[in-house]
Amino acid sequence: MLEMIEKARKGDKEAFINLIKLVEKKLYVIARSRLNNEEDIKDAVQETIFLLYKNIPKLKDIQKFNGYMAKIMINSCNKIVIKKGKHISYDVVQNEEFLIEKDKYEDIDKKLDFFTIISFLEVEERTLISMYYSDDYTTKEISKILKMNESTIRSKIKRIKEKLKQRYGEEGIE
Amino acid sequence: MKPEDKLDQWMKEKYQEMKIPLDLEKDFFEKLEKKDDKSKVQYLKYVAIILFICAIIATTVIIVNIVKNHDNPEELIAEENEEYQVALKIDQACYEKMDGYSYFVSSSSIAQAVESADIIAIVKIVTIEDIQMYSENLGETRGKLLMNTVLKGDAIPGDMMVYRNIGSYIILKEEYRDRIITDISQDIYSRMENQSQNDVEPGKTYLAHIRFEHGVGTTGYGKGSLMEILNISQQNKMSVEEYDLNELIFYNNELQQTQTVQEYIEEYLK
Repeated sequence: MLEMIEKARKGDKEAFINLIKLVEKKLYVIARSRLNNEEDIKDAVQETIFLLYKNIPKLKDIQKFNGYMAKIMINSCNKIVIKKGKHISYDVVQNEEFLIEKDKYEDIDKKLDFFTIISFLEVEERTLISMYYSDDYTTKEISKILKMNESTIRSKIKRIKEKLKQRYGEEGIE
Repeated sequence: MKPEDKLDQWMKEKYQEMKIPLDLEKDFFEKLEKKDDKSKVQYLKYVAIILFICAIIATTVIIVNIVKNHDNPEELIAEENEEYQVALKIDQACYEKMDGYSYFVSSSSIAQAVESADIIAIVKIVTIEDIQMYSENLGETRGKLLMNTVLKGDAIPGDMMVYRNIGSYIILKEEYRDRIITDISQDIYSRMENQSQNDVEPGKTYLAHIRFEHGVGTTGYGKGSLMEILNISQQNKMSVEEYDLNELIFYNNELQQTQTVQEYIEEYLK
């Protein structure tokens, strides 16, 4: 991936396209954690790709690409939120009944996708936990991207996990 | 496996299972370059608009200055005169074009001078450019003055005016001689120098009573027309300054004592 970033930085368009294909899930996950509307998500991702394309030649340290990209992605989402004039509410999926009567639904687990699971969390918590489970970012990187102390990030992750346990059980839905 | 690890594992599986419904258009990447070009064009457009606005502002300022200077030819001279250059000669044609001069009021009392003056101001005599004999025993000087603090009338600080002062004589100190532009004949010079009248000196600051007149104006030197501010030294460099009127002292030739400009205002202008 670093090689691809380096090539893209030097203006290799093909390398840039391949790089985006590699990271588009990361982009989508961050956008999805902050925006609810698919159109808005698409706009934010496209804007981020455009900004990356325009600014990647200026990137001095290719090791920092992931963090740089995440920051741009978050900014693009925030711009959309500001443009819309209010905070976009994230629809909390009404899955309480699944949980109460979980024996009744054997396929509940299948119905719950990642974002449905985290839908009850706050925006920043959703972004944080998405990045955490993506395995692409260390807590240190997340702390830089979200401009928080690393120990704060760790305690937040712990708290989010507590919330998840409370809602979905100790081990998730089996 | 700890329950927490199981939760992590479950979440990671969910993360991996996640599909990305992100459907970028096929030609999206081709459009990127165009968009980049577009944004460059947009940027150039903004620059062009800003330059255009600047050009309009600059043109407007130039036109306004030209019109202003056309109305007031002295304005140009004033600008050039900031560093007090002798080259500022007002030629005779300039005098002829003017409707009139500003005269220093001549009167029998300061109260009368105050009443008949169109402008009362703290002025600086910038130049003496012409010296003549108004009559057999009466000198006349012409030159430019710079308005400072205006106490009465429509003048603005910074205005440069052509003045004509009848009845004065000139102290021609060596270091100020080069400010006198007109060649003075020895005859006129010696006659004026011998007059025991008040002076007009370039570089000095005065409390002046000024009247605009056409044709022949006031004659003779009276009380209060032009009173030197004693505590401002003669200056080579002219600039508009703000003064504390309580600090400015002049010799009141009617009361025959020194007075501050503030006291003068309270006594004569209120």
